[in-house]
Amino acid sequence: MPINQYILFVRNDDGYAVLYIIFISFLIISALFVFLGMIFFYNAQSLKFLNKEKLNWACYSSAQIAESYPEYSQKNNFTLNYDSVNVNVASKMIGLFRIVTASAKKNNDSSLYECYFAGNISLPFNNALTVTHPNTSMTIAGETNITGNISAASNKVTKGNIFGIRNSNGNYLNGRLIVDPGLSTRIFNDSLVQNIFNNELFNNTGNPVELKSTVVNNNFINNNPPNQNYHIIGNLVFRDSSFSSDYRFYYFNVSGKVEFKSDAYLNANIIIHSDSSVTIYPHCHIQNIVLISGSKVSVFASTFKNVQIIAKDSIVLSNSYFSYPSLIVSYSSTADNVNLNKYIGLTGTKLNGSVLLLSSVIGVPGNKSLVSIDSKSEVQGLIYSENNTDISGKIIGSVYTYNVWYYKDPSEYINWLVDANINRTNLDKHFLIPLGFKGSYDCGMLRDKWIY
Amino acid sequence: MIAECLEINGFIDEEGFSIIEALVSIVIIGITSIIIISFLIMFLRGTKFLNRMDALLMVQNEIQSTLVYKTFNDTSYANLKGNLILYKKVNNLNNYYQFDFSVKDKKNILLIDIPVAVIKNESN
Repeated sequence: MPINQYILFVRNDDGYAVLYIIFISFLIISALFVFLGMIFFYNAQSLKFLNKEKLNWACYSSAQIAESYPEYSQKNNFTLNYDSVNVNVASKMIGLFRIVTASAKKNNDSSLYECYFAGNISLPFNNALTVTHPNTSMTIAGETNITGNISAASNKVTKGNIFGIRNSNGNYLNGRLIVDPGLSTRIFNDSLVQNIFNNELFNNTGNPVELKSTVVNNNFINNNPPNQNYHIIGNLVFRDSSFSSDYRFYYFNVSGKVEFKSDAYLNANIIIHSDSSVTIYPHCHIQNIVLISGSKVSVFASTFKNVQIIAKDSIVLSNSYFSYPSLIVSYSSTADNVNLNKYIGLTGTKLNGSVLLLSSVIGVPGNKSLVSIDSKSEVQGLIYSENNTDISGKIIGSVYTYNVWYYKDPSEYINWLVDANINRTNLDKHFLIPLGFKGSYDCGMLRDKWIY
Repeated sequence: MIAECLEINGFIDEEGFSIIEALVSIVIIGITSIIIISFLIMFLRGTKFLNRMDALLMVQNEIQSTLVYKTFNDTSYANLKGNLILYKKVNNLNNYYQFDFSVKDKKNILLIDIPVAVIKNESN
């Protein structure tokens, strides 16, 4: 037998056998390589996801730690090391809420996280109604219904009659009357609001860019970068139907009027400080803005979410809807005005948030400042008034006021509760109030967002 | 068919291959196969590589659940396959809660460990 036949596997006259083996082996090895590569790729991806996740939670945790310590919250910028990641934390007040931004970078990954903090609702806002006037003598009339406790300086509560209004049936209170002669008439640190009017929000925004009367629309956004202070010498008008921006802020310091024309749709981080009045015309939708006015603010039939309206004069809200967390603040100072007759009026308006009427002096007889919730309005949250409050609408939450006030032509009734409807128990336990109330340092997260 | 194709393109010698050529080819193929197969065995045996994604998903879900439902207590549970166990430990520090989310496999090998701090407040 020729030797060739014994080594047929190796040498074949046709030269085929080994070639087939090598070719098939090559295919098998290639398949194995592909499989190995897929596993390597899968592993690399999962490691990348894991690192990104750790980076995200390091940023989140740093922001939480920063806000949980008062000493950190006083600082504007600092670095925290968390889970072996160096996180840069920046903190500042935006209106009466605090924004904390945390950013970190590791290898090729980076993370930017921002969250808003506000105060937890606690004592004395656990009561449905707190009247701080030192010599309170309350009178109940109409269909008043209070679910929760009433805290007042005295236990003098009587039933009264007003012509044309039903008498109270006596079961107006589903709770206790707590007598506390030491009730504080002011529990809010008004220096925070003073800082806002002193343009504190505009610090560190660089040199202002001066513009004449301006119409803001998407064209403006495309041509003007954020994180810039725009000083408008004249009026500022938001006219276009749609206007949105990324997480960065636009700062407008306006010497004239500010107007939001009908059908304006804004979902942008904007801070506006106007020395004059602000008017929001019907059918606007406005989100994420801070409106500061040195004069009065008028709002007509519009919807809002996460807005802060802070004014030195009256704020009139008509037929509008404010989603949580919205904040309405009027601050009157004897340094600015001789007449203390500021007014926050809600007519046919639903508000989920807080209403604050602040005054540099409390208990002055000439102070006519008033928070008025009409019978068609509803507030879910907190009403804090350092003067009079007219509660004709429905309140789900807490009212803390110097006086309760009612008006029926031609008389005004001080510390009369007429047709008041306050329910403290139905308020969400996670409801958060603005920062600045004196007492324990306790805050919670209002909202948060991972930018990237 | 393949052989014809290779022949046309001049890849095969009509004389066939020498024994040395064949042996070298077989040795190279063998060594390469052994290396690749040993790598594959290593990866397939080590659950760390294949289960890390599942572990990450478990941790993500538990963190979200903790933050949304405010479940601030220690817990541990296995996934549906039963091959991974998630541990959540809560440390009550002065001003915040320190959570430690970790996932281990059946052999008690740590796959993921993510610490998360959460501000302490009354509503929690």
